Parts: sequence; C-alpha cells; structure tokens
Amino acid sequence: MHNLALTTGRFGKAFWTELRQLAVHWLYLMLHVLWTALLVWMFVGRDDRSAQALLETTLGRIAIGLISLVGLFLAGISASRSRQTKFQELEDALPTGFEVLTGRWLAGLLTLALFLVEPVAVAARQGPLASLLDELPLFLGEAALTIAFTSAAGWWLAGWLKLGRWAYPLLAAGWLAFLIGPAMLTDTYPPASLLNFMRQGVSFYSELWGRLVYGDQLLWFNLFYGGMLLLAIALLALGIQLRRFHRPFWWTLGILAAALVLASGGAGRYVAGVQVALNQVPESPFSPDSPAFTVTAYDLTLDMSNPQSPRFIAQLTLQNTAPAPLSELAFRLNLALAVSESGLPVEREGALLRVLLAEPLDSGASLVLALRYEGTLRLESVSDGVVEANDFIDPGGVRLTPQANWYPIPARQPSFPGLHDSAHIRLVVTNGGSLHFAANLPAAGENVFEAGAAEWVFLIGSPRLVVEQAENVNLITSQADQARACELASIFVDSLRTITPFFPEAEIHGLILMVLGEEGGLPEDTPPVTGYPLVVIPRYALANISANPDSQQTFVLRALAADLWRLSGGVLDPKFAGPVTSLDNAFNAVVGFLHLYVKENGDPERMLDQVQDPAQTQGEVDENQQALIVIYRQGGEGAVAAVLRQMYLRPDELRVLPYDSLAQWIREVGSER
Amino acid sequence: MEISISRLTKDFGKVRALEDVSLYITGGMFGLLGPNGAGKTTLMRILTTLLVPTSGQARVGGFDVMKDPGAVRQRLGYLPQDFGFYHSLTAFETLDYIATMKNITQRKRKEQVSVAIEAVHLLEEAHRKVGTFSGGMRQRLGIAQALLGNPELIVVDEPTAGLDPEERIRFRNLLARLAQARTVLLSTHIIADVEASCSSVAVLDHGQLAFLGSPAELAAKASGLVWEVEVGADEWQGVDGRYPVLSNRATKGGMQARLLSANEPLGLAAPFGRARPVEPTLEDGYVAVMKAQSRSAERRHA
Repeated sequence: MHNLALTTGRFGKAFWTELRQLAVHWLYLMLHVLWTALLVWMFVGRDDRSAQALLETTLGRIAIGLISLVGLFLAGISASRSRQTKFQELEDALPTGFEVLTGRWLAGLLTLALFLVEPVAVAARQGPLASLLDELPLFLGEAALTIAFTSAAGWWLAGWLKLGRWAYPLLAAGWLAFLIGPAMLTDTYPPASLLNFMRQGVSFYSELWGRLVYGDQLLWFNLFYGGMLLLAIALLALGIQLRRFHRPFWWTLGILAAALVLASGGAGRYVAGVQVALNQVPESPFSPDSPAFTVTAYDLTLDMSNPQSPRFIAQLTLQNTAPAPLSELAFRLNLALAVSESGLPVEREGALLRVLLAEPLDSGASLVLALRYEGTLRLESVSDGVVEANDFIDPGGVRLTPQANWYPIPARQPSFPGLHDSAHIRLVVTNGGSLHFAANLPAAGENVFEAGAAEWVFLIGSPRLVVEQAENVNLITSQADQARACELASIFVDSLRTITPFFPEAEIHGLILMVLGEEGGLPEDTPPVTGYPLVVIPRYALANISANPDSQQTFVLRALAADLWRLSGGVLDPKFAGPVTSLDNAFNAVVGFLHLYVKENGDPERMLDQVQDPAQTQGEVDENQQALIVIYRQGGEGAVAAVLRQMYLRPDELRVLPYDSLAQWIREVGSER
Repeated sequence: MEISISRLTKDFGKVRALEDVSLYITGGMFGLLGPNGAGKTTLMRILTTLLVPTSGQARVGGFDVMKDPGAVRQRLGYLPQDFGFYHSLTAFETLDYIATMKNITQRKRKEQVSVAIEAVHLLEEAHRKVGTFSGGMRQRLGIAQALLGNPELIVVDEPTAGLDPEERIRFRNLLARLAQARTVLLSTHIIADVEASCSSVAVLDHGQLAFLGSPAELAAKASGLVWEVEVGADEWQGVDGRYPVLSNRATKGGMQARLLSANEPLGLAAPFGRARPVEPTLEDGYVAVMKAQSRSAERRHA
C-alpha cells in the first residue's frame, strides 16, 4: 500500500511537472490561438453540416490529423528533454520506474487533447445540441486513441533513435507519408487504408445512417490501433525495464501479448472485410435472351419483424409481350434473398430466378405471380480502400437501391443503371420499429408508397429520417439537415411553379425532394414517377448551391426540367453514353431558356438582351436559346411548349441533326404552330 | 554502507575501460583518483546502476547492482560529472521533483528540500529558474539534490569543479561530515580534496587498480623519492627534462623545484648544488604511483 502511494506520488509529480512545462509556455498558447483562427476561418459559416457530421468528416479529420502532427513534435520534445538538458543521467539514478514516463506521456496527451476543445466548440456552435452530444463520446474516444498512439509512437521513436532536433523534419515527413501514402497505396492494395491512422481522406458518414454504411470495419480499425497503442506502450516500458532493471516485467510481457493479439486480430478482420467487399461483385444477370415479358404491377411488402432476416412478399402482375407463348419467366433477384414460398416452381441460377409456368402463357396474356423471399441483405463496395455499404437492411436503417435487385425484375431488361419497364408499384413496410421510411414513390399512408407508373424503387429507412409535406413538396431528409433542406425546398417549389406552364403534359401533382447524404446505387438523373418530379441531391450540395445564385438556379432548373421533360413523354440520353447530340443541345437550350425566363421574370426583351449581351455570352450568341426566346416573344408560353412537344416526339431526328441546324429546326417547328 | 567490487571489467566495444578491478569499501569517505580515461566515471556509473559491467560483480549495501538496481538507487545520492536540470523549473521545484522521485513523503519533502538548499547556500535563489543559473550555482544545486533523502551512499563525480575556493572547502567539509554516518565515494582530480577529507583512497590507471589504501599510505609511496633542489635559471631546462617535476617556483636568480627521483637527483653533478630529501605529500604519492604504473606498462609492452 505504501509502495503504491509512493508510485502514485511519483506518477503525479511527473505528470504535473510535464504538464506545466508543456502547457505553461507561450508557444503552446500561441498554437491554441492559431488553431482557433484556422478552424474559424475554415468552418464557421463555410460548412453547413451538423455538429456530428462536422466531427465525423471535415472538421474532425483535420483536427485529428493536425493534432497528430503536433503530438509527434511534442512527444519528441518531451522524450528528449532529459537528454537535451543533461538531466538524464541524474534521472536514471533515481529509484523510479515506468510510472514517471507514463505520467509525462499522459501529461503530453492531455496537452494535445486540449486541442480538441476548439473543434468541439466549432461543432457545438454549428449544433444542434443533440447531434453534438451523440457524437462527442465517439469523437473524443477515437481522437484520443489516434493521438495517444501517435504520441506513444513518437515517444518510443525519440527514445529508441535518440532523436535530436534534426529529427523533427523527419517526423513531419513521416506524418506526411502516412497522410497521403495510404490513399496512394489503396489503388493497388485497398486494405492499405488500414495504415491511414489519422482517419484522413474519404468519409462516408451519413446523417441518416451514421456509420452504418461502414459496418464493422471501424471497430476492427479501432481495435488495430488500440493494439498498436498498447504495443507502443509495451515497447516503451520494455525499453525502460531492460535499460534500468536489466529484465522485462511480467506485466509488460502481458501487455505486449495483448497488444499483438489485438493488433493482429483487428488488422486481420479489417483486411478480410475489405477482401469480402472487393469480392462482392454487383449482381447483374442481364439475360437478353430470356423470354420477353413485362411486369405491369408490383405489390411489394417488406416485413421487418426480424430485421436480421427481413421477409419480402411480392405480388407481380405480368404480361407476355413476346409473340410466342412463354413457359418460364426469368427474373433478377439478389442471391442473398432466398425464395421461401412461390405459387409456381422456381429455380435459382445465381442471381437469376427462373419461374416455371404450369402451362404456357399466351402472347399478350397476363399472370399474377406471388413470391415470398427473405435473407440478410448488405451490398458493400470499396472506395479508396474503405468499405462502404450502398444497400442494407439493418435494425439501424434501411437503404435499398435498384442496384441491390431486391425485388424481381425481368432479366431481359438491362440492369442498373437502366430501369425496368414502367409499372404500377405499391410498396408497404411493416414492423419497421423505430425507423421512419420514405421512398421515391409518393406516400399513400404510413409506410405505404404507391405510384401509378414508376421505373425503379428507392427505399430508405432511418430513425433520423424526416418527411415533411408542404406546398405539394414531399421533403425527405435527415433531422440535422431539415432546416436547410426546407430553404432549398422553397427554391425548388418556386422554380417548379414558374416553369410548369412550359410542360402542360407533365400533369404535376407535387415534387419529391430527397436531400440525403450520398447517392450511390441510384440511376442517373433519378427518373420521376407519375406526376412527381424527383430530385435527389447530396446534402453537401446545399452549401455549394447557396453560394452562387446563378449556378443554384441552373442546378435547380436542370433537375426539374429533366423530370418534367420525361413526364411529358420526352427522352434524354444518358450522360457520357456517347457523343453529344442535338437532342442534348436541345435540352440544354431549354434549360438555358428557362434560366433566363426565371431570371428576367418572363420579359422577352430583357431575355433577348441577356442572350445577346456580349458580356454574358463572351461574344458568341446561343442561337438555340435565342430561337426559343424569339418564339416565346411571338407566341408566349404555349408556343414554347409546342416546340418542346416536338422535341419529345422527334428525338431520333434530333439525335442526327447537325449542331448548327438546331436553331433553324427550332424556328421551323415553332412556326408550324 | 559497504561496497564490494569483485573482478569488475567493463568493455566498450574493443576498448576496455575497467579491467579486473576489485575493491572493498567499508564506509566513510572514499576518494577515487586517476587521470582522465582511467575508468573512474565508468566505475561510478556501474555503482550507480547506470552501466552494466561486462563481467564481475558489484554490491552496494549487500544489493547486487545488476540484480537489484532499484534497491541500490533507493539508497543512493548521485552527482554526475556533467549534468543539468529542466530549465523552466525553479531550484525549489527541481529539488521537490527529485525528492518525490526519491520517495520522500510529502510531509518530509519540504523540510528536506529546505535543508538541502540551505546547505548549499542557495536559499536566496530557491525560486529562480534553473535555466538562469551560473555554472557554480548549478553545481551547488546538483550537490543539494544528492543530499536529498539522506542516502546511505553518496557518489560524487568531480563535485567541486566550478565552485569557488570558499564553496569548495564548505562542500568538502559537508561531505566529510556526511561521511561520518554513511559512505561517500568521491571521484576527483583535486588531490587536496582527497587529502583533506578521505579516509581511504584508490588510484585507477588505464582501467586498472593502481593503488588502494589510506591517503598516508599513498603519500608514503613517494617516501624517499621527493627532493627539493635550487638551480639557476639558465640551468633549469636541463633539470626539467631529466626528472619528473612535482612543483617549481621562481626564486631570485633561479628556480626552486620538487623532483621525483629514486636516487639523489643531480648528485655530484654540481654546479647545480645539493638536492635535499623532503617529506612527500599525497600528490607526490599519487605521481609516484602513476610513474610506477607507467614503467610497469612500458615493461609489459617491451
């Protein structure tokens, strides 16, 4: 007991003495001032993420990275102080043990941890409080782990290599290597992301699902660095014991063994996790030779009573579109989903599901097929060495994109990024627990979604999901983004209301606006469902869109115009699928026209001035836009709508039309009226 | 506290710093003499557990310095030859820190620190940062820290270097007083310090023990070998080259010198005049031992 008190006394004295030497120094105080200034400059008013998202991504990553660098330097300073001041020989003759180094190291750690106050304060200023409180333990814990590891490794290096002042640039170079090295290595060896001990680079943190998208990878990552921290501590202790007592102590060997077990276990599981995700090839059993049929109606139910193995009930109304009778039907269905019950015999060939018909289905005839299937669904991919789940069903959240093939789609139809034939779709989620659900389909009740015609389904569920219905806008976002998303919704609604007269065929009932964290797995341009333009935008876009009114307006109008164009019967070719055609240019001209229309409150003279203003056009007048404005001046909104109608009706003609003939084409179809 | 050293050898790579040294120190103040590179600091660093011997054994107060270094350190006060402190701490804080590390309880710490500071006359500078101290003040602080905890063994390596004569004498006396109840191991170049305070002395040369005994016995090593001569200034060059000169001073028209010689120096070689034998001092004994060592080494190499 007496020995323990003395050891504690030595530890405490070493701790406070070191703390005083590090913290009561003008340089340390100046670093805090600079640190505060840097964070305020970088984040206050510039990054609109919630407190939790800030600490999980940009702010938190920068904080951990830079504090690690300071940690290396501080460790070097502390570890070499006794040698620099010639105190070491005297110190070594004192009856002390590892407790002195522990005290000094922990003092350094506290000094570094105080640099976390500023980022937390910036995050707190951002709010909301609940978001901050949710994140704080995790952020502080992980930051402490990283900083502790860096600092302990720095102490060990400084002691082992007997670093002098010359070594500080080398420490900085090492830090830099670990900052950018893993990202470079992941191109050839994705699990190298494990070396990214400062947690830099990409972050797939989502306001809706938090870290659910990472799965267990972060646990293994932290376990590995927990082991590495213990390893550094054990090596420090071992160094002191061998030097000063000429033998290792049993507890050090115990820590060493535990460190090796933790580090190797964590690393093994992490690497295995990356390998599993790498081997998880997206299923796309596109089978163009399969019999031709179409599903005209889907009635889907997702039962979450057992979230670990959710059950689906699917009732499909399908029609033989082939000229000959069909004896079997081929669907795509995720391999993880096993059919448990079917009205007809089924066979699986990987992700291909073959339904064997009892009797042939005549050409043009319809059939109702009922299926029950269940299984654990989690589709992961690897980006920059980091495992990310795009699709999952979990007690903590649901994200199902077309990429997951989570409901049967005729195998003849191309898989993602294409869409299936337009069908009536009704989707019901039962036993969802604390999760709130939303989809790209209009809500028809609580956890019921239905659209008269839709080509895809995107279902999301999260305890943090907010669905707000106002002014015909179905706003779907996270709690943290709700306020800003509402601002954005009003911009979209105003724009939609203004431009709708140009698209009378679209028959708009409202707008579905999804302000989410990421868009992985969604089809290009997120096609709309009957009567509802659908806009899915990354939450990161909020700040960017708000920053520049012109680009904001163009972004909004382009998104809305694309859906209105489709709902009016027009087609748009996929971006980057081939050379730019006059069909693409026609759509771009319409977007440009609408932009000027909104900007100049529909005044055709001012719109013409704008399009002809050399300052605006860099001397090159957009003839296509000008043609549309002239038609608008002559015939109003109806005249332009008529031109657009011709664009919907004659896409093939536009695709082959020379670029420089488009303006003439517009003028001609505009005068045909 | 007894110190027992048995056949101690220490190699630094190919260089042998200590060779087969055996010593037994029963207590009191023990002086360690020898030229630079003789192995004094190596021996002290082994005894203070800072170095591991290549072979042999050293026990301090019955504790093996290798097997039980913690117990040795607990009983030790050590003043290294070249040392420093954390610059930003005051003298008081420095001593308080070291006192804590020496396991002095909080209750006794303040008192012991004050006593130590007073003993080295640093009371007025107690709350001044050590980084601003002069060499002498730092040396005194070093001495003060060695006294903390009333150690049974005090090992001091060149402790009076940098002290003014008055401080040197005061410190020497302090060590002598401390040595009444404990063992003080003093390594020094200043023979007067050994002469004035040590009860036993060892001379190391080239890592080997050249002498072990009392100061009187060391002085006696030069008995009958020390001569005093007076020569004219123009003949002095001839004398200087022929005999080891222990000391010399200019006199009116010549030089008076103490020479080390087995026979009567200059002998019949007048006109230098007569040499007369004189009583050897400790310094004379030391030089005699070193000369003997040197001759012995030459014979071995021959």
